[in-house]
Amino acid sequence: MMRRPDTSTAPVLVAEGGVPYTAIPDGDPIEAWLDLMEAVEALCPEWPAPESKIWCDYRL
Amino acid sequence: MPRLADQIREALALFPQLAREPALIGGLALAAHNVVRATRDVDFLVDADDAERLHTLLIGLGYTCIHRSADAANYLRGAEGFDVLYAHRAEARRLLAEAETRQTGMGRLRVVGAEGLIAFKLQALVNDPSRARDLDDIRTLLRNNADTLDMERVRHYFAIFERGALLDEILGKQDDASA
Repeated sequence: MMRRPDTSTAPVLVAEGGVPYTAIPDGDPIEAWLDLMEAVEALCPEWPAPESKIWCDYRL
Repeated sequence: MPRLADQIREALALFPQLAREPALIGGLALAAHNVVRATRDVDFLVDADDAERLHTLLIGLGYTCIHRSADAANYLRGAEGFDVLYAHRAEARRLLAEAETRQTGMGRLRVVGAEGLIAFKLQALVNDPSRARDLDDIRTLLRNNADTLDMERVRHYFAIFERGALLDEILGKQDDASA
């Protein structure tokens, strides 16, 4: 006999895409950013042109 | 060291030639306030009185000025962008004066406080509501700095942009999520 999957505990990562959370880095967050960007630049050595940021409403 | 870090280090070497040291804003400044995400945005808040001097220095480094107004300037060098907001109103001048100094692997760096960073993110969002990333950054800054933020000041910045209801909505959702 075929068993039905147990649906009493929802598989969070599949059914809901995971739980929203933000990891706060241990230690110096700027060093953490440098580490991250090292990996990002290794994966994406050619960066697209920067987005245009020409605005009209400045209040600060 | 990432290429972007070299670009920032190069900019930091220029700053002693200005009357007032600029302060980092934008996506990279997030890292100084416990929000680490990949970004290539190099944005600095610069005293408006230094605009002409900085322009000359950046042109000398090979940047092309693609836009310049009383409020902001955008420079480009290949795929490297360098964006400037000029502090000439009272709020921005205050934020520039109060910027915190950090010792980093790129050198000594001034960074606008978390409340001011939220304010600049809000200004970006108001100018381009399609930039969902800015709203995400505001949410994350509020959440990751909840214990230290001056919320009276944050409310003041949202009031400047007539977005008090947006702040209430963000904070309400964060309360619901933590309940």
